[in-house]
Parts: sequence; C-alpha cells; structure tokens
Amino acid sequence: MQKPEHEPSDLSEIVAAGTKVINIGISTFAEALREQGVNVIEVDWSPPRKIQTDLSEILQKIL
Amino acid sequence: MNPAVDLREKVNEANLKTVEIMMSGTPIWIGDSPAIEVVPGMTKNTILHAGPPIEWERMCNPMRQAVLGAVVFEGLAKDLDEAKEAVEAGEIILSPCHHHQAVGGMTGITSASMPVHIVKNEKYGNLAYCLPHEGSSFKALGWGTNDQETLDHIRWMRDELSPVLDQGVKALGGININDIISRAIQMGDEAHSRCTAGTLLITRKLASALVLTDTPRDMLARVFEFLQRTDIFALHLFMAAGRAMVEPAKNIKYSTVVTTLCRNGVEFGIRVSALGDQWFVGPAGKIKTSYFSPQWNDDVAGRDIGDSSIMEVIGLGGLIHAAAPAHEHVLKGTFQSAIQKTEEAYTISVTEHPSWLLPTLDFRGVPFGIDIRKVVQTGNTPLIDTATPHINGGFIGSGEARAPMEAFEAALRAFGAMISG
Repeated sequence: MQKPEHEPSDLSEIVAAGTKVINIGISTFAEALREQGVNVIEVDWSPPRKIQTDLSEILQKIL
Repeated sequence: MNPAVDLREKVNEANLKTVEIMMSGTPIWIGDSPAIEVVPGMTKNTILHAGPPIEWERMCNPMRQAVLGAVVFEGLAKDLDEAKEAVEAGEIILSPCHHHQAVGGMTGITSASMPVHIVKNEKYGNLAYCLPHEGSSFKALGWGTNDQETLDHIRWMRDELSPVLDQGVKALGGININDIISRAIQMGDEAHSRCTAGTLLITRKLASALVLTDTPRDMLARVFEFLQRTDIFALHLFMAAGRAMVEPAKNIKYSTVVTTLCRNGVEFGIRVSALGDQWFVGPAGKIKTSYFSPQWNDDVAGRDIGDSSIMEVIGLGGLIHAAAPAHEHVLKGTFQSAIQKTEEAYTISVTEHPSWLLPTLDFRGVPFGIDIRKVVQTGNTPLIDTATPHINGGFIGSGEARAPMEAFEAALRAFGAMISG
C-alpha cells in the first residue's frame, strides 16, 4: 500500500493542522481530545435501547 | 374510540392531574415538635428508618449503628450491646419513615423523643415530618455514628434547637417552603446537596422573628452558630415539603407518575401513584463520590441511602444541576455537563413547573413528575444527588447515583397487570 505523501507523526501536527472531530456517543473520548487542544463537536447518541418484550408490549398500550 | 388510544389518553390525563396536585401544594413549615407527639403511629419503642421496608438482619452497617444509637438515646437500653439484644429480641419496632408521613435523611433514624419539623400542605390539609438536619460534621446518627458526641448533639437539638426554631416559626405564622425553593434554585441551589441559599433565606426570616422574643441570648447564639455553619439545614425542610406535596397525589387511577424515591443503603424503592403504597425495589446504587479527604475512597463508601431523593420526585436535586453549576463543579463536572444532566431529566418528566424556574435555561421550569413509562422507554433512570456514608459510619463525601432500572421495570409490569386485570 502506498504511503501518503505526508503522514502526521504525532498529535501536535494534527492539532496544528486545525483538525476538527465529531464525537458520537461517549463523551470521554471528546474530553480526552479537548484536553489535547483538538476542536470537538459532540453528538449525543446511544444505540437504541433494547426493552424486554413484555415491557415493550405494555408501553405500546400506554405510551 | 380505539381502546389503545383511549388508554394512552387516560394515562396522560391521569399524569397531568397527578403533577397538578403535587405542584399546587402549599407546604408551610408550621413548627417543630417531639416525634411522638405528632408522627402517626410513633410509639416509645418505634424507630423509623429511611428507604423501603427492610429487616434488621439485612440493614447496612450505618443504619444498624444508628438504630442502636437511637435505642440508647431513648433509654430503652443502657448501652449499645444491650440495645442490640433488644433489637434482636424483637422489642424494637423498625418501620420506614415513609409509612408514617415522614422522611429521614441518610439512615433516616427517628425515634419517639427526637424532634421533627412539621410541614403542612395547606391546600390539601395533610402534614409531613422530618428530623432537623444534624449538621455537616463527620458524626451524626444520619451518617451512622452512635457515640456519646453523636447522641449529645441530638439531645441539644431536642432540648434547645428545635424549641427555639418552633418559637421563631410560630412567631412568623409559618414559613412558606414553596417560596423558599422557588427563590433558592435561582440562587445556585439544586435543593438537595446544595441548600446554601435556602438556608440563608430561612435563617434571616427566623432571625427577624427570634430577635423580638425573650429567648436567652446565649441560646440564640448557639442556634444561629449552628445555622451559620450548616449550609444544608434547609434540606430537611425541603424534604418534608416534598413529602407533604406528594401525599395527595397518591392513588390517582392510571397515573404512572412516581410518588416516592428512597433508599435504605441496600435497596432503592419507588412507589407510583396508581399503584398506591406498593414498593418496587432494585439495588441501591454505588455513589460516584467526591471525597472530603484522600484517606477515603470507594472501598470504604456505603451505598446510596436516605429519603432525601423525595427532592428528585418533585423535580429538584439531581434533575436540576443546571441550577447549581457550583455543585456540579464539586462533582468534578462542568457547566456543560450540568446542563446536559438537566436536559436528560426532561426526557423522563411529565411537565415543567410553572414557577420553579432555571435561569441558566432561560427560565425554563424544572422538569417535574417522573413518568415510569418514559424511564423504561428511554433507559434514563433519575440521577439522584446524595451524600456518601463511611461503611462504619461517618460523612465522607458528596456525590450522585442512579436509581436502578429494575425498580421502574417492576413497577411498569405491575401497572401492566393492573390495566389487564
């Protein structure tokens, strides 16, 4: 596989390049990047909750 | 009409009715009194505890230690060993505060001669009770200590603090706790772990009345010294107010609104309006704690405990960190995380309070009325603000814990059975 012409060697180069990150879900990852000076936009997301069948049936009736 | 749509509408209407009853309550602090004179069902050998029902054998250590302290305090045993014998012989009645129109902080231990605040819901006429806060020092029955210093402090509360408070409150013709909460949450309190503003507002009212009484100055000095170093004093009045507000909202047919959240250090119990006084429980949560000293850590921390989560039932505490960024900072969070936690609370709530407003959310009303349907659907269980007890007794930190999903799922199953039956 051909190497890119210039591969950033460390995080400081990524930061210097003005990299922006969209973090989806767990905010710990965003916090770690933010501490390194990376611009992070957070999207609050989690996988759809799996609800037990009997509870789901009750909810269908009343919600 | 489609039966499913009809049922949904019945639940929605019942929930709105439930929160309306809660929010329209007018909790007034009308005085203090020894528990045995006012608390329903209190006897000389009854000891009330926090949380859902639990037998002596299953109680956590701080609660057991506090029970023994109360037995000695009441003169039912000469020392802690004899107190243990009395409890194990069945001579002491152990009962949840919630079964007596009362609430208790942390272990919640309340016995016959201990003082209680009395809060009256004037609109509906019902009363609620709570032992005054014992203060923020390491030792208290509430934190599960039971030595001489702990019991002497309760004696002072009984003999001096509470009678003076009672005199001040009566001279004022009562203090409207609803108004105090409304102002305090615009002054940086979330009205559970942080009650600094509420305590100041109450203290200045008391001062204006007590200065005109013939109470000896040295007595007043001790009472106000206690109030000035007890930021959390207002909490137990807020709790009694919450207890008074939810009582008339019980037993509303088809209502899925939570009327009780409480913990005994082993289990977390909830009650739901349409399901009356049935308890639904799950394990008491581990507390994410900011410890007061490096000598303490999760290895010596007790689990979530106390009836103070009545505050979350009425839309405060862990549901409104947006009101108390300074408290979020104590919990090692940020302003943004405080806002996010409150935004999450709206996803499980029925409505927004019309006069308890959050300045940081452009004066949006607090999220009010936890709906078990929404908790199960979203997976967002209420965030509970709490204090952390040492496993051997003592106050070691401030933190937050999640209510367990198991309790909400059990309640929803019972609700499902009720509407099918």
